[in-house]
Amino acid sequence: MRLRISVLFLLLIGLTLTLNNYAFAHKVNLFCYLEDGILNGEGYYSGGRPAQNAEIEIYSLNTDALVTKTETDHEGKFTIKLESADSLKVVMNAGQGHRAEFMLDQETPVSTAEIKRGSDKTVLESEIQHLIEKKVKPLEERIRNPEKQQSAPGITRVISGIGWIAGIFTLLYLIKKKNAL
Amino acid sequence: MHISEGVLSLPVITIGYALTAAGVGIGLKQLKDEDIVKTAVFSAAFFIASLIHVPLGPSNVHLILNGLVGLLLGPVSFCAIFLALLLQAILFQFGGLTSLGVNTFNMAMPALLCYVIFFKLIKGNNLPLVIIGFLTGFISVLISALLLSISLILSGEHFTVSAKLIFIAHIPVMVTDGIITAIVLQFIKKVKPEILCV
Repeated sequence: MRLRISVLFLLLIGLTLTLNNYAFAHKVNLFCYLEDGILNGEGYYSGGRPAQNAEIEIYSLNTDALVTKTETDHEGKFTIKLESADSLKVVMNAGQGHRAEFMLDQETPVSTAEIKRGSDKTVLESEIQHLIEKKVKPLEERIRNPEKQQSAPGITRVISGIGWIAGIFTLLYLIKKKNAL
Repeated sequence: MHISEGVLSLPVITIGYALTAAGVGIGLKQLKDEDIVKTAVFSAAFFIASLIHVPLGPSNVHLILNGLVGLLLGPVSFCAIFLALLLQAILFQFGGLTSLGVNTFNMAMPALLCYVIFFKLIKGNNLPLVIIGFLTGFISVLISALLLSISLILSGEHFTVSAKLIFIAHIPVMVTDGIITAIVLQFIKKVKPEILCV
C-alpha cells in the first residue's frame, strides 16, 4: 500500500513538472526588422524552434488598418515589401492560441532620388550608413534573440525530461501490476 | 550522434522503426517488475549523458553511455534508450521523430551486443572491471558510429564523406565513454554490487 502511494506521488510529480514546462515551451516570439522597404521577420518558439506557416498580419500604427498579410515559411521566416512608411504593428498567429506582436517604429526613409540630388558627401554618408546597418543587423538580431543562442537546453527541460521518464516507468509499473492481479 | 530530421531516406526510416519496434517489444516482455526502477534510472542517465558535450570540429559530439546502459539492462535497454531519445527529440530537438527508429537502433543494438559480450565476463571475474568498463564504452560507441555511418550511406552516396568524418570525430568519444563507463562500473561495484550480479 505504501509503495503504491509513493508510486502515485512520483507520477504526480512527474506530470506536474512536465505540464509546467509545456506552457513555457510553447511561448512564441516574433522578431522583425526593416531593410530598404522590405520587412524581414522571424517567428520562433522558446528554444528557437521556428513557428512554421504562421499567419502574419501587418497593421499601421497610425490608422490601425490592416496593411497586408502573409505567412511564415518552414524556417519561421517571412519577407514582404512594404509600400507605406508608417510605423507598424506586426501580429503573428501561430495557431492554438500562440500569438506574438512586434512594434516597428519606422523612420521616414530618405528616398534614393533625394540622395542623388544631394552633394557627394550625402551620398557617401548614406552609403556608409547603409553598409553599417547591413553589418549591425545580424548582431542586433542575436542580441534580441538570446534564446536562439542557447545551444544547450534549459534546466527546466532537463528536469521535465527526467519527470517524464519517472512518470512513464511508474505508469508501466502500475499497468504491469494491474495485469498481474 | 543523433541523425536529424530529413536526412534519412524512407526505406532506412522504415527499417529503423521496424527493428526498434521489435527491440522495444522484446524489451517490454523481458522487463521484470523489480527492474523497472533500475531501467528508469539508466534511461534518465542516458537522457542526461547527451547533454555533456565534447566540442569537436563540425560535428557536435557528446557522451553517449549506451554501453553502460546495455551492460546493466540487457535487452531492456531498447526501452530505456527509446524513451530517452524520444524525450530528447521532443524536448531538446536532438534528432527528430522520423529518425527516432534509426537513432534508437543505432544506440541500443551496440548496447545489447556489449551486454552479450561482456556480462558473462563480469560474472566470471575473468577480467578486471576497469578494463571491461573501458571496452564496453569504447566498443559500444564504435559500433554506434559504424551503424550511424551505414544508415547515412544507405540514405545516399554523397553522405559517405560526412559519415567518414563522423567516424573520425567519434574516436575521442569512444575513449571518454570508455573511461566514464569504467569509473561508473567501479563505483557501482563499491556501492551497489548486486546490480552487476543480477
